[in-house]
Amino acid sequence: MKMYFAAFCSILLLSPYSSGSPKGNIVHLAQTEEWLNLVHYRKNLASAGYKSQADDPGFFLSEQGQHSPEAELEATLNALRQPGEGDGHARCRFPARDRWLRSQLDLPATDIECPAYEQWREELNTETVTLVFAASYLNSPSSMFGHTFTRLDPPQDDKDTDLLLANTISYAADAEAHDSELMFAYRGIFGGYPGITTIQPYYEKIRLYTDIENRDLWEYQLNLTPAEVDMMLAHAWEIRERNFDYYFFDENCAYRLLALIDVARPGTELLAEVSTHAIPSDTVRWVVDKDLVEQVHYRPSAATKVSFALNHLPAGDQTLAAAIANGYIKVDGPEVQALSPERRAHLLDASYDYVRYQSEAEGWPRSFAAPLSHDLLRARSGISGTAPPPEPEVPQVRDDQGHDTLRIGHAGGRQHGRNYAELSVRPAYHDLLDPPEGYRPGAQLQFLRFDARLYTDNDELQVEQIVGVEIRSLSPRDGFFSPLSWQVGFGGRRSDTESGKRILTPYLEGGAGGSWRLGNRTQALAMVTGDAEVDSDLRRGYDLAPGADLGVLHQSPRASFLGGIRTKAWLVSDLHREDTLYLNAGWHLGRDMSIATEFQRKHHFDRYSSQWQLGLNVYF
Amino acid sequence: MIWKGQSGIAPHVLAATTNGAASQTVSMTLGIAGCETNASIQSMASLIDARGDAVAHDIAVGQGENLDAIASSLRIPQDQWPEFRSLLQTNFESIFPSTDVRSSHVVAEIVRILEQDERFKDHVA
Repeated sequence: MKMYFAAFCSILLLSPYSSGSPKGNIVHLAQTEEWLNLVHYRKNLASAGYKSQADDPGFFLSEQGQHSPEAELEATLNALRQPGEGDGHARCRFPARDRWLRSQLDLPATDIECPAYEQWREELNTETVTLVFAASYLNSPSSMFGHTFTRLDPPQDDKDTDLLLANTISYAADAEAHDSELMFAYRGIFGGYPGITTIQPYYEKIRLYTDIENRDLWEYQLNLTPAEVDMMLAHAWEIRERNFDYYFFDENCAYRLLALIDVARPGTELLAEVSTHAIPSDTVRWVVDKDLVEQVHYRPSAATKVSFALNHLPAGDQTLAAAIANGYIKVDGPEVQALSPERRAHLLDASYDYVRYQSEAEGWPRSFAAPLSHDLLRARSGISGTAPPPEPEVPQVRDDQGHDTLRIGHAGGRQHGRNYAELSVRPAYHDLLDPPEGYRPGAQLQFLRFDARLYTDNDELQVEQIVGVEIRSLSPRDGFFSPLSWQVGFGGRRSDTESGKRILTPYLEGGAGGSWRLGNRTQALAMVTGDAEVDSDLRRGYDLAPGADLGVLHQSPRASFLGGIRTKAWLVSDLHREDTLYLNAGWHLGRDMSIATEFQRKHHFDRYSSQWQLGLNVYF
Repeated sequence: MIWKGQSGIAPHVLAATTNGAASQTVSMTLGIAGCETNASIQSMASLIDARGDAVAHDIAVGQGENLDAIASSLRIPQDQWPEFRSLLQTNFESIFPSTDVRSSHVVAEIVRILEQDERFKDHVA
């Protein structure tokens, strides 16, 4: 740290503001991006002036500090100039402000002892900073937005250090344990949770994301210089115990980390990219776009590893692994003993990973899983000197390299003899027929999609559908894993009536079932569904329909399709069946453009109707 | 307990959508019978407490990043890691004697094994 101090002294001499008048300097400095970032000021939307996002009086040295960059700067300067030292001194409480102001103004470059800060810095022992992105997990589309935190990496040439033991800084809502999930969502969106910074060893994060939540981690090592890392940590110290109210959509985990990077490297202005929401996966794109990344490392989750390990066993050994895991044969049974040491080692490793995964994810009872785990390892400890099993390959396309999430589509089509032009806008996130690279296969999450049609025969403009939320999660079942596939959605959509009129009705739909792999990129699905619609044009004002959906989904980088048959039995207002044959396809022209086609043949109210559509989707 | 039982469904729903605060399960105050509060041993203990089943796996296999992290936390020079790994692998059954073994036993036993070994005893002193 002393080394960097020298670097700052030399900046002092070169400072462009050292000769101006003091008052003018303060006015000027208070408006610089560096100062606004250091105190987290954002321009007010409605009125002139600023407000700091910190919701904590301890973060300000002036009483007007939350609203006045100038008053805060003046108070900070005064406090920094006070004689004295020790942890309570402003220079020790605000080392980043101190550092920056000293570089801008002609302040005496006296050294100061800050025991607590220095000890903290020593414990963190940081040379480089890595941004870690927790990707979504297959059967949890709601995790699609991802999560980010930073890891503080110790010097790589230091033999006594290890990345697993490195510290991480993350920012999260400090929710009270007794709050219900609904309350949690409400306060998360409208405010009310304090946001806190936590520092934890990396292995705790790995335990959470890799072992429990089964999310792959992408580690983006940032190319910050030592002085920039120094500034980031000095600022992390300033906000360490300070409250910034937490909002899921914008001022969230990812947002605070962007703020830290902006402070570390002035001019980056990552926060300027945030408009209404900061989706963690988008924030990673911005960091990559601003050339902040030195290298990227992939860390597969427990689920990724275990399916890879099982798939790489010879076919006969897969059967053995299943038999061991289910307790049909003993760990030291003759079938296992007959294998060569290396094959036996790989079999035991994969079986252990599988048993651990099942007890973690599927709640296998401990009374069964723990003795089996122990037996597997005891047998494994007798085999040494074998080559380590192969590791899962790094996905060719990272999550941040997938298509952008705002989709705008334009299409022309024909509905039961009428031609139309359609415009579709979808702010987030991904559907099954979008270019699949960088997204989990079989997962779909759409928010606030809006489709409108202009019928050309009478120039009638119609809202076709408004999707509030639509989630689909199709996870193939096999001999080892039996996940449930499910879907849920609500919004408004056009629905047929007996008279032939298509009315816009609110709907709620859901479904559950299974999916089975037919090929590397193809799966078959079978779902039991339920639909509800509400409208005054329906005889009783609402209608309910149990139903079924059978289909085949194929997703590849060039093209995707989803086709099948769907049947619904409407029960309340009318007794009638609605049977649909559907085929939807997307031809992907790269990752940011796709030709989308739809075809539907429907039998409803004892008549047949067809619809087809052809259009272009572009991703921004 | 090293091989914990888990339900594991709830975190998928909650943590994912909301980035809620991760629960902090381990504290540095972990009481380890018969061990002095040596910082490097504490660091190893916290790791074992957090990811006991992964550590157990690495010790049984005689390699892996969790085992390396333990070697690193005990400040064992890298050229001695192969010997360290195989020493623990050989002693798997005394480190993990039963299904219900607790992390405090695991830590104490690793320390005991290292204390009895000329090559490593200085690292747990």
